[in-house]
Amino acid sequence: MANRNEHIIDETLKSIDGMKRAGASPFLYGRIMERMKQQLPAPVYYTGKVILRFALAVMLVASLNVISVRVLKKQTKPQPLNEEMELQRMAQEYFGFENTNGYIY
Amino acid sequence: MYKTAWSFAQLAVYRNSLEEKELISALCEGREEAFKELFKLFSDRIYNTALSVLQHQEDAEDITQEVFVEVFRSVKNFRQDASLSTWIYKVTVSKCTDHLKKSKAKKRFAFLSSLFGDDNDLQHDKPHFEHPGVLMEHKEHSKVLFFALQKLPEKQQLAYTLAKIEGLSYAEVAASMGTSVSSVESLLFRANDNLRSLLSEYYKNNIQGGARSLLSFLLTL
Repeated sequence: MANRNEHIIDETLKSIDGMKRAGASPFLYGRIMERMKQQLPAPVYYTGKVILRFALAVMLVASLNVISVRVLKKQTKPQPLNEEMELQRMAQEYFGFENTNGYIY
Repeated sequence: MYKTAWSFAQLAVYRNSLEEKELISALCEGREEAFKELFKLFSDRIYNTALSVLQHQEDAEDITQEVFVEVFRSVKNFRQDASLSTWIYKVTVSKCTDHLKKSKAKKRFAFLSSLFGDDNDLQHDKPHFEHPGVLMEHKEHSKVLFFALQKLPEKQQLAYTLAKIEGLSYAEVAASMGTSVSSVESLLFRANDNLRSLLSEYYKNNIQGGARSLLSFLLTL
């Protein structure tokens, strides 16, 4: 009985001798690629709509800039002054009082 | 004559290592054809290892997928201290170990909940697994062997699978499991010993049980 048991045990242990490798499913590669695509961060695709919106925003900002520069230029343009007013201003700046002599320095 | 044969062998090893380096650098660049080549070379080895350890087809496929994703992600960090195949086996072993731990925890939970009357099925008495690569005449015996393999401690099971089923050398098994060759030898010795006692118990119960049931059947006639 013991001998018979030993024989079966030996047979069982030898049963994996000469076994072949189990092959993976042919669809496994596709599944792995799918899994990798899911796990990796998706690339950002710029569609036509997005590009158009971006271009419109850039144009709006540019035109606002142009308009504001023009308005500023207009505001800072020096007003034409007559000679006397100019002298008065100079006198005030240098001497701290108005020129009342009537002379032109 | 011997010298020529030896140098041819050396040349083959050198060529293989060159090809491996090329493959690794192509993988680092993220080229799909390199990944396809890697799949062709290793898919069966990974799947067969996972299938032999886990004894479940879907789980083995899942593990194979996980291993490839992991390899593709971390190939840039591969330092090339060991060969590519050893590294891939190492990843496979670690994934299988994690899976075994998780399934053991699930089994424990199912057992406990079954004690308290929940409707969880006990998962530890699985039907006998049939490996598709086993020769026809050995099918029945191999079912019993795989059943006994499941009962071994984790490390013994892994060492036995890698050495006896995957056919790796002791050095390769040691590198894949992150241990020394001598500890692999001792693991295999203990695995063999444990398998013998498990099989002896299995056959004793089954043969005696079979004889008893035959006797009771005859008595009823």
